[in-house]
Amino acid sequence: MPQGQTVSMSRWMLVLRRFRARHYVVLAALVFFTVFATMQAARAFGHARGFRAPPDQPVSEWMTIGHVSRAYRVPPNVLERALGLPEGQPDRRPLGAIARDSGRSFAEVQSAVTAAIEAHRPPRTPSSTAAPTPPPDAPGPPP
Amino acid sequence: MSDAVLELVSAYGAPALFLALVAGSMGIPLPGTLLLLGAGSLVSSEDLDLWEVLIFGTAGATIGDQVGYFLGRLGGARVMAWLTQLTHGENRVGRAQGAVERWGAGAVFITRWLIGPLGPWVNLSAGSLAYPWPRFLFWGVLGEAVWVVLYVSLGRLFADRVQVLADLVGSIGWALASLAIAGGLGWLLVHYIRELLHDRNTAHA
Repeated sequence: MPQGQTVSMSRWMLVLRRFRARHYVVLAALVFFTVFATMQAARAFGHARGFRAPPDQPVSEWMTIGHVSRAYRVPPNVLERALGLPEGQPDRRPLGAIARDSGRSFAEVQSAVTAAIEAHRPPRTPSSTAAPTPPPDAPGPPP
Repeated sequence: MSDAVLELVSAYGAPALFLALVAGSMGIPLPGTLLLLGAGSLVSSEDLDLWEVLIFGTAGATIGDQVGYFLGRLGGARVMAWLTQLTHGENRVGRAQGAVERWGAGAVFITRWLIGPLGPWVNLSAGSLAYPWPRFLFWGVLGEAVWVVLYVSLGRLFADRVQVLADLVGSIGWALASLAIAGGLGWLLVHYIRELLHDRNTAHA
């Protein structure tokens, strides 16, 4: 080991030996916050990947018919019909309030709205554009 | 709880947002960023009015900041006495006050919208270290206006992915806040080590 390095090491050992409780507290807090920052950065990375995926947030109590209509690209009258509300009359109540006012559970309202969205959406096509492969027992091409 | 508060904002509009942001800026754990994103998405569906959301949102967050600042100011003398005792000397507290004077504006502005989790602590510290109130108010209003406008705009743009956006922004905010605290602690540790080395050198001399 070079002499300079030995001197430097002993210097650090001396500093560490002189550490008091408050120094160790600061060191422990530094390690804790560095680890926490790394964990949050990793979570942010995961959320960023989720953000780029097609939107699939569940229908929530705070959403209004107008919001669901715009966010899920469904005409408002489709949602009004699904909820048994008069069509063409703007209703700005959140879905949670609509459920309470109509004496239903939110789960019922949520499933009605979700079903209406699914029914109105164009069917999802597989991402692959390759020609479909015939089933193994399908007859082969004519000779 | 997030959904319940968002439902209140959805049902009662900007006044509910105002109250929630007053409480959030005082340090009560409410999802302020999610509320602004949700309010933005409700603006995009014309359920809420844009200007009402911007004005009530900025006012609510700013008033919450002032409550934190004045709480710090009222309890400041006791906090200072405790800090002086804890750090063994008035010169350290004096240095902290000097640092607040020098960096306070940037800290107040940044913690309003980018490093939100530190906001309530900066309010209390600014008050207890007697940071000039007019400057605190100016940078606070500016920072809160940036926060409200930015997140309401994001909510309008990404109405179909409010929750995942709130999670993303929340994680970035906590990562930056932790990094800022770690940076401060690192600086403090370097300072301590220099002091120890200096003590050793003077002992040798």
